[in-house]
Amino acid sequence: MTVYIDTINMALMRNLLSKLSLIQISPKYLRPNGIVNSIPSSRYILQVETTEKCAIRTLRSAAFNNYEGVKLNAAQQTSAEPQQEVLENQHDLELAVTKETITKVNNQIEENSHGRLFAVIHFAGKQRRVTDGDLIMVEGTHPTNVGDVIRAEKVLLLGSRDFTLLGRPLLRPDLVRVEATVVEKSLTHTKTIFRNRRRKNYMRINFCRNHFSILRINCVRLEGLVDQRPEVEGVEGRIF
Amino acid sequence: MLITRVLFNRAPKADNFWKRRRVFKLTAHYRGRKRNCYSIAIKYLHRALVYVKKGRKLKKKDAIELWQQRISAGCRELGSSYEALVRGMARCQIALDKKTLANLAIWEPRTFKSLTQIAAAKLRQEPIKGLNDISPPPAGVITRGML
Repeated sequence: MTVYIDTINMALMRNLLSKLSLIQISPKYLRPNGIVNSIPSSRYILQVETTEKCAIRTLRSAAFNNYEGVKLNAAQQTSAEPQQEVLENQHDLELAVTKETITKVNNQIEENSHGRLFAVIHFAGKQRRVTDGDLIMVEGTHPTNVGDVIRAEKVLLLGSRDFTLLGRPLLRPDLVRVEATVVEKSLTHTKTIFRNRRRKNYMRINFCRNHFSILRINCVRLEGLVDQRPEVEGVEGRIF
Repeated sequence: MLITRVLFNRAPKADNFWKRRRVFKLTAHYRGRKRNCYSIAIKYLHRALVYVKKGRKLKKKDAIELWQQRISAGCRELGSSYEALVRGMARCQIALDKKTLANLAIWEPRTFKSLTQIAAAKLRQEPIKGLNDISPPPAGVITRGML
């Protein structure tokens, strides 16, 4: 973990130095509440390498020791460290928070209390942000008929009020389901294609109408739980 | 009786009225003589129809530019930049395009913020020359080495 500090005071205010366990400051520079006296004008930029498991100690312990000036103490333990505070593993902390978050999300999924879901699907060459009840227009000929129910398989993102699931790049098909019905299949309005080269006796006019389909998004829903992969994947929809 | 002679008659001359009416229907909203005088109107109409064709391409180009501006504005509100977001996202294999990102920046601010944070976390791990972010990392972003 690399930490960038602009001034020692700023760092103290942000309580970063407490994580560093490597800087001890001589008591003559410290004011009673632990803030360092203005060390002459120049800004200190310190780049400190810490080990992965960092010991969190308060500066009060450092102040009690008699050290001259500022010293970077790479790996040595000091002899007199009477107040050693909590030793916390950064990795375990993160894991705990992650698990808590995932259980909260899964609870919402199980109770169906997440509310309206929106998804970003990649459909017919374009990305569209859809939710229940949306109408989307797909230009070009599509091999479906009016009334067919389609499943949008490429889902890039699923969001609700409290959480968002991002696919890298796609979300698992057994996790998210987006279904749509073809409502209308017709031709666009007439588009005029006019080419003219002035004074060169060249003029062409063409008219064009393209096919399009309109789809109504029936549902955007979560079908599985987050962080629970099935034993066998890629079997859904296959005929054996 | 000379009946074959009728076959050599030329077709009657078309009525100009209908041809000009087709033009005047399209120039009804123009100003001055361009609206009502055929030989003047036809020039401006031709130009307008060519602009219609060109505009279809420009519309797409303008839309992309607008999305980029909106994403950039959203990023800067959150202390990031457009380049950092896009390059960070690409490196995380998140494939959202500009249209979607602009939509999220407006209507889903929390999702957009989390995207900027993910991109920033990735760039912190794998820095790009010229895109270094010296501000302290935001709280509450846990990657567990999965980025």
